[in-house]
Amino acid sequence: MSKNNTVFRPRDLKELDRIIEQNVPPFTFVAGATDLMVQTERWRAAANLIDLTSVSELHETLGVKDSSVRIGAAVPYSRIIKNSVVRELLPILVEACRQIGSVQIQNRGTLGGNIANASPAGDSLPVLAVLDANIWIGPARNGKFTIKKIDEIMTGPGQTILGEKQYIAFIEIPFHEREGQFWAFRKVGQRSALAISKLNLAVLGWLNDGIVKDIRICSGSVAPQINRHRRTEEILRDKKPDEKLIEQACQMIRREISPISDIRSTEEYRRHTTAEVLRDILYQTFAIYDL
Amino acid sequence: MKANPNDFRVDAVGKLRAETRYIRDEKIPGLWFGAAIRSPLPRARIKSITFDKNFDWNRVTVVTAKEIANNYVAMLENDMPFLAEEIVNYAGEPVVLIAAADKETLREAGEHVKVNYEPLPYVLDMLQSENSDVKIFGERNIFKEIRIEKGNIEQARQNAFAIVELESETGFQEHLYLEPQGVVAIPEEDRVIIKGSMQCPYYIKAALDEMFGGKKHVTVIQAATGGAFGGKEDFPSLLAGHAALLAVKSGHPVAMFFDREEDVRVTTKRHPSYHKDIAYVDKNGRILGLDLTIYLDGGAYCTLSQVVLARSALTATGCYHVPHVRILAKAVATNTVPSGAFRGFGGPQAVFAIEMLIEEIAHRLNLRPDQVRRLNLIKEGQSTATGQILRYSVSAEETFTDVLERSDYVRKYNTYKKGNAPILERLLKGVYPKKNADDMLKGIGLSVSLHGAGFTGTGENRIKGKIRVEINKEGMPVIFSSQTEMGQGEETALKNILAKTLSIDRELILLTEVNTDLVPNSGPTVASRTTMVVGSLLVEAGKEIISRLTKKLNSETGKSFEYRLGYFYDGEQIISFREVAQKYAGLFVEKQYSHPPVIKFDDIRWKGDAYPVFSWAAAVAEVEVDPVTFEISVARYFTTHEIGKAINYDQAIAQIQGGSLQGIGYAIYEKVGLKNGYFDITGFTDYIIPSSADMPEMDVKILENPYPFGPFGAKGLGELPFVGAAPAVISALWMIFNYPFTRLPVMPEDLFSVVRTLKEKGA
Amino acid sequence: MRISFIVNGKSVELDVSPKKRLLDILHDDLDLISVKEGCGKGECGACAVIFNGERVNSCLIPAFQTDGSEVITLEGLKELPGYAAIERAYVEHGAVQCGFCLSGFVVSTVAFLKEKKSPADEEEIKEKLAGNLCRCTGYTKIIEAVKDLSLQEDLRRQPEAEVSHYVKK
Repeated sequence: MSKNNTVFRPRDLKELDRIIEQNVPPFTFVAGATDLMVQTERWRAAANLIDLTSVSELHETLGVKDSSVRIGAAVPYSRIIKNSVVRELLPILVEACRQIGSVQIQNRGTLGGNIANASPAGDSLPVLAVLDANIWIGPARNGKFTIKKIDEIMTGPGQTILGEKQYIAFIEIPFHEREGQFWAFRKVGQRSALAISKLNLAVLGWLNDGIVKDIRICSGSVAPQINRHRRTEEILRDKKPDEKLIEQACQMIRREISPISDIRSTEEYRRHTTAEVLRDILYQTFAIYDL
Repeated sequence: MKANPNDFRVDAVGKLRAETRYIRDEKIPGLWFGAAIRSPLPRARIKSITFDKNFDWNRVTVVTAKEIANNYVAMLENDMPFLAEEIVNYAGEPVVLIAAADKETLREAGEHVKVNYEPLPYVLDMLQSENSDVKIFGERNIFKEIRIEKGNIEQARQNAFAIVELESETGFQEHLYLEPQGVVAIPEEDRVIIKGSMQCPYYIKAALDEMFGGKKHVTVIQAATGGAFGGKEDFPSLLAGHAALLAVKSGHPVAMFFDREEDVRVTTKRHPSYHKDIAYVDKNGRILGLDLTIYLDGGAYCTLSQVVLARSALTATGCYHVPHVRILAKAVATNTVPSGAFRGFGGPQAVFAIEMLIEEIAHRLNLRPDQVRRLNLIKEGQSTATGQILRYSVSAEETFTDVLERSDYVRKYNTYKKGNAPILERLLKGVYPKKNADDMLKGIGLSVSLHGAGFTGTGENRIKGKIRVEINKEGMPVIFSSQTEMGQGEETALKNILAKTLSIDRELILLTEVNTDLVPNSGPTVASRTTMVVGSLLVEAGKEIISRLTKKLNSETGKSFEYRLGYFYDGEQIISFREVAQKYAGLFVEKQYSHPPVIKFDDIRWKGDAYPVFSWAAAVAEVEVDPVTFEISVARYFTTHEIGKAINYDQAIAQIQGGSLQGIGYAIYEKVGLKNGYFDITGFTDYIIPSSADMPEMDVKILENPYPFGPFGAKGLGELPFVGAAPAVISALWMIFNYPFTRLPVMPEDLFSVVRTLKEKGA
Repeated sequence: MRISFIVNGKSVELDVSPKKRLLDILHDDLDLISVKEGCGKGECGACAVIFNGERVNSCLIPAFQTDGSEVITLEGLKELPGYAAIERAYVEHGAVQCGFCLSGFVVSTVAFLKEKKSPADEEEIKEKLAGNLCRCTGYTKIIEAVKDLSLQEDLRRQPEAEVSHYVKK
């Protein structure tokens, strides 16, 4: 490792964008480094390191702005977890962040890193998907960031649409109707804490007069990419949830997912358990028990 | 609960202040770093090794097999080379060694070595090895075969009400000590100093003496050792050899420091096992005979497999009295990383198999598993498979009864069964299993286990462990022994034993650095032998010191002093131990171990006292299974251990807690697979050990039942807590699913498959 | 690159590769041997330190991000007035075995107590300490020690354990 690796530690977005403009890629954008540094080869090859934690906007932004919650890409999970506004408005996000790694990792890891690394096991990603988060991609042109949804950014494990001069700047989560809202985030791992997920599932929805007004379901860790299960959602939408309907939804999600077998789990287990976790969430949400 | 101050560990404060130096913390001037180029194939012929001319090889030191005169690691069979010369026998086997002044150069150099391999057929399955055309060890790939017979198994078969058969298997297990392997070799003119993380300095010395053919004086020094569990018993001999070869050739001190990935990929694992067992039982579940077939997968080289196998075979009948026994045990070779020592040393595999066989008997005869166990527990005066009559310190029943009562096993067994029934019924019908959000399947399982304390068979009489206690100028007794502290509390135990013998403060006792130039060979720190065997030598030494000091004092003063709890007293005068000892500074006592003559073993016919004594344990595990995800957790774990006498009560509890959790890991968390002959794990990310969030509520109790030849009655402890944990946990899964779980580990994926199978059966 | 940062209250300046891990800087360059490498992947917690007031795994911090930072290792913590109590609890509860994971546990213990307003229950301690793995103890005695410590009001929210206070010292 040479001592002459070029390093940039821009203080603000303006400086960051100028560095990108004036230098030749490839760049390695670094936030909490918790994913990057464990990928030995990638880290060794990484050149032109650009620190995002030094960029004040990316590291400090955390709060309400223009009827949405805006979070800088380099804000560590622990600050999200402790933030009273987020706790109040986005409990599902807090829950996901709490289940990512240990406290030491939560103190460093960031949403921006989770998105840019595009790990299929990134626990925050399904939650950002159901929250319909807007991902602001820099540099801004004429003051405008490129805005994408989470499932538009990931193209495969470790693969994103990000160009070599692009970085994740902000995660913007629109306010959601609180009335009738229900949510769940479940992570299934080999042990209670800190293990990479075998599967996870995020559900966010709204109930009105016993009718599912809207529902969003996203799985992670099951397949090479996170998956919004729109056909499953369709089955539940505008219906009164009962056992039969939920059974249909579970059958649909089994068809909608394409799980893999790897060191953490098997295809069959993942397919079955994703559907059963969904059933469990829906039964608990709608208090449907075979009484 | 806080410990008794006498139980506080002597090494705690140094560790809490980061004053304790592990090998990576040593500042060694001019230190180079070494590494091995390893085979990527499970078996291959080395066709050529080429060194890229574009690299400046003057910057580094390289060692290949042909430079090593005695290219074998002296152990039981001397079959493992330091470096492969013609054939590699496992993926990860070292082929070339390189050392450089810095890690970057080392890595670069490694990329410029090309080893050309011709792939050869290989065998990974231990059951196919014996008849395979691939020859790894001898003609049949068998490291060792043991046959033990007692009574007449035919008779048991003829009298049997039922014949119960069970096949069972256990997988690899990684030690995952927190400190990865690390050894440094420092070359001097006629000498090589080895310093590192290790359990057995004299094993390393023997291996290196052999490697150098006596041409170098080898000094081995133990650095503080961050956990071992058997993983630093045999493996460091290989690693130290590598460091020494590079150091001597380069003229620089060389460190072989593994990172975690290399550590889990190429170091020894617990032997996988396969059992095919037959029990002949009467209608009440009494075992008339056991016919047991055991296979252990030894990997590519023998290491300690022969002795691991012996312990497996000698533990195979568990805590039970069986009149007729036939055991056939084989350790076989496969093209995998050599298996090695790991806490329990063959015992856990054997106890798992017998305990699952008991479960199967209960299952077949429709009895509760505790009933079958109780009926067959071995008692004082009865004999083991080798005909060893248990004459003292037998507590299978006492530990069993105690743990059942404390855990309320029978009541919970019935309650949980009742509670599970509707959940299971729904699960097997394929409908949503819960009635309430927090519905869980609750299991309660149990096990009885034992561990033969000290070396197997005649081992202790062969090694003849020796210690010395010397009085220094300050009148402080100094212990010289080769026992190592690796976290288990050896230093505290040895000091406590001598302090208690002499009735003086522990602070007055010193321990010499473990350095083979200074300490005699008191034997390796393995086999739960330190407290019992070496401790007993310390008691003898202490007693002799008192008698010799008394004699000297009396002959000098012409009075008749006698020793009373730390003081010499003659009716008029009372003088402290230290005051007297100081007068006779330099006095020393040496003691050498051999078994009391009453303990006899024939290791050709496998008859007699396989171990001088056994320690006993019984455990109850309360397990919860999420009926939706099949995630498994242990909610409560009760265990009662009988260890003769707890030399350090608090740390004995600590050993039991730690060993139990490691055993729980073996049962439901820790899995190693093979991918192209390579372990499929890289470290903590994909090899999951229990964290604090997974620990059960632990309820530990110690019973005492003295061993007449142990220090104050103490027997071995270190390994025992591990042994019974996995069978207790898996017993709970049998109880929940009424299904024979016969493979370790059991993962949620396995439960999912079992439930699917049960569903299909039901349909 | 040249980096300067504050370690245990002292300013340090070094010329290092920007990708060098904070773990290596502390352990190898500054001889702060409490910082142990157990895995190098942020999983085991043996290299935990307090970094800008928060506990982190130093194996996952590159040198260039340490420039301008404030770091406290066990060597620094043990100079704090509250440390004696922590040491005593670990000793008296028999929570020490091989010691390799220990400084990480102590760092996490201090960081945990610092944020506690009230005595901790066992479940909370287990969860918050789950980022420190131990293979010897089975955790029970460590949890007991921390639980005992959390009963001591003067240790919770200990101002001395705040980096700013420490740095001023």
